Amino acid sequence: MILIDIDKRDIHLTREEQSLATGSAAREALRPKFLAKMANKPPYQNLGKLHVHEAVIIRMITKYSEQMIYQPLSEMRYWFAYSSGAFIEPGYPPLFYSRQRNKTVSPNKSAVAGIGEGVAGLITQRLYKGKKLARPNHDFPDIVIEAGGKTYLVESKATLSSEPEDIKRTIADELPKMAAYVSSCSQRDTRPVVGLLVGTTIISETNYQCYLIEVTV
Amino acid sequence: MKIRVSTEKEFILNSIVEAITARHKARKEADYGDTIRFGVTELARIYMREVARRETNEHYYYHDQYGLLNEALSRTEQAIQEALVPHRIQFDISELAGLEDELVYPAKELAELGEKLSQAKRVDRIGSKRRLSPTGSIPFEIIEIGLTGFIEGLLIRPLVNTVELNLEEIGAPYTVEGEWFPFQVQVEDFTFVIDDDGTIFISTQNFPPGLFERVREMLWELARRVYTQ
Repeated sequence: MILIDIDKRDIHLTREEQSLATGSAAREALRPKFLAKMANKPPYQNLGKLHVHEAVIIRMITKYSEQMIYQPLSEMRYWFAYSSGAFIEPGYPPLFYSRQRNKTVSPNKSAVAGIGEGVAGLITQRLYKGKKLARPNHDFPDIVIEAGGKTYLVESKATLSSEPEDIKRTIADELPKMAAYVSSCSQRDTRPVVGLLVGTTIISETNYQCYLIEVTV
Repeated sequence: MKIRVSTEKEFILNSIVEAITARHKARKEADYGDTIRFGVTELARIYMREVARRETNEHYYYHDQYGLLNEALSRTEQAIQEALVPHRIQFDISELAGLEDELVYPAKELAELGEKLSQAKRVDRIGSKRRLSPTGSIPFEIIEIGLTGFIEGLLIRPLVNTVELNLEEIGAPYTVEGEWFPFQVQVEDFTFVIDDDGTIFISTQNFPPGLFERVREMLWELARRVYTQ
């Protein structure tokens, strides 16, 4: 079983904030001003935990990820075995991965990204009762979901870190882009449009921490 | 709990039609908007895969991406247009500027894979696909995922556009877990996953042959109980 702890933050954008988001895409100087306004929005709140079987994650990765990956959960277990020092023991590969001075050993990035996309899809299905409308090909956002007459634009980020602040920063950096896009889509679409930034930290082979920012205009 | 679900293709088509109809009522005259574009692109990709995996007994596949792409776009436009007839709205796929350019490289990949799939099926290189129509249930197909002799998963998918899933009367020994899709169905140490397009999946990685056949029987029985007419 995999345990996913979910924290969520709701950000509603005023007209002025939408303009700032759009402007910050063109002018870097507006970005800190926009992010400062976002810092005053309500903080994260814990929504509780999801307990899901590995088979569910595997199915969601197949459905939502565009990474060509084979057995990403096994990749993570292999990485955690390495990073916990097990490879020094007999029975493991006798390889010395850090051969070069400036090269550090890292987990399979495609596997991490794929798990993030699968978890983002799982959470939008479970929390919003959403159904996949599209999986844009190498485009923004990663996933488009329809739920309750609304269109949800979902962007996923994932990392393997013991420091949860890393992924919070990563999705906060995506906020101006998502805010500008939600604002633009809302003006042109007949359905209400909502942005969802989903950041997943893979803490261990059985524990994920997920941060969710819901952007509305 | 009984839940009516539709296949991915049916859901996307209905979503597109609903959005175009709402747009028409609101008299929006600008472009179709991103939601419709996302939906049409996804529907075209579904048709591209359908065209690319034509049954081998047809001995026919496209050798280049343009033939495949044109047929898929034509089918997409036709499906949307037919669904819009009751609403008396015209749909012209060419109004979605750049759609062909966006899909031409995926079409190239699919055309190449279509040819390889045709060859692989002739020599039984990949897992099989069987259509079943049990009495009292809807027709469905059971798909072996992976290479022959190394099947890594089994998937059942309904062969009708919409199906009602009966999740409350499955009965022992099946236990349903979760409050919404994807539901987990537990039997002994096996976990089946039921998703919102009506598919049922089980991972069979590293299963010995005897166990694999037993799980196939359990999956089939689960589908018979879950799918109602």
